[in-house]
Amino acid sequence: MAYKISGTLSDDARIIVLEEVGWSLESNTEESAGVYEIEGLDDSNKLVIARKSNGNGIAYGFVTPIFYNASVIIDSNITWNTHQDFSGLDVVITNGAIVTLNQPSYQIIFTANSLTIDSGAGINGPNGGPGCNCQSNQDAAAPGGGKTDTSNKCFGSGGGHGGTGGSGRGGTTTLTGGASHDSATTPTARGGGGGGANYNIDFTGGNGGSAFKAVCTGTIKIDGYIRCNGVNGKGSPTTGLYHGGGGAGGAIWIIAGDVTGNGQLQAYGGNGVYYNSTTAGGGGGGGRIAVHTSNWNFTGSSSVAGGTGYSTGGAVGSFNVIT
Amino acid sequence: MTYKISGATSEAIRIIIIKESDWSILDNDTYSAGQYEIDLGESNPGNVLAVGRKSDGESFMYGNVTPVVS
Repeated sequence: MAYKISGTLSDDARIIVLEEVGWSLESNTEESAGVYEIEGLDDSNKLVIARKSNGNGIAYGFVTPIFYNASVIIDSNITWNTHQDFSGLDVVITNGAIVTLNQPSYQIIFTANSLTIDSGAGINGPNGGPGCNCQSNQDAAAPGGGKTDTSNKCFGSGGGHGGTGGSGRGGTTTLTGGASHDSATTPTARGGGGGGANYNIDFTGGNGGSAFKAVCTGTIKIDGYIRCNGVNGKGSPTTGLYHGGGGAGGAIWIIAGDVTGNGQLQAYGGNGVYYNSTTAGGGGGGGRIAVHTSNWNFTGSSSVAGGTGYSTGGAVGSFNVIT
Repeated sequence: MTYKISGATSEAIRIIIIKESDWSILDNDTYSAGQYEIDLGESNPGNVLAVGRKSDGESFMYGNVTPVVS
């Protein structure tokens, strides 16, 4: 809703705005003499009533509100756990604010006219597929979940997404990493969680990265960051036991008229816990980043690298710009 | 006892009655040209704001309207 009515009052008055479709009351405010603006209306015609305190007043039907270019400023840390619809609005994330994505079940879809992420601010999504909980003695959930060793060596392989998760190894056992999955051009899936290091609740596999989609009719400017990275596995790097796998990178899908900025786009895999060359958790596979735009002018950095761990770690994910 | 507002209109019109104590809409209906009578129920609504709107959008309003009891 980015429509408003405005005018000038000679006296203080109550302004009542009724929608002419359905005749519901949309706004009811006391306004002081002078210029007033009633914002946040929808685009339908209005019946506008101005009533002074003595009961006198005027009314106008067929009032058409005007569109205004409104901004939403996010200047302190917040959490998004569902879709974010800012249609028609310009959204600015600034002042070092961090927007944390916390929806492990589905891709959060952000919609706005434009999105600006200032330097030092960003969107961070470390909450994709859950890393394996060690005490559950199970592999991390599909798709792309890493595997968990149930022997006394206690290690996990990396989660998979754009790239296959890295294998984990302990003793004479090797566990393959989570599978590669999802589309390289329209990614929607979270990163798979890492396999857990058994027997200790604290030694879980890392979470996969979140899945995030930003749709803007105008410009997305990223001087800060969008990160949907996998989380490092937990465990003990100083002993031969307990080496959690890293979570896979998540999904970043951008659809915008223009993409600019010199910040960061990241969906890399988390690291597996490393003891030595024959004993380590698996690195998470890299995630997937896809950008659909007619003007790609982003000069910052991007990464869909796999995480380190046993052997070669997680495989690199996918990064595509479709113009 | 019933609280009412009545009058006459020279053409078809929508009349919206708004309760001035909480600004809720009490009544919203269209009336043909001629006499009209709006029944506001048995409880006293207090003063109301009466808004008339013609089909072409031309509108008028009266505040501090006291319903009559019949």
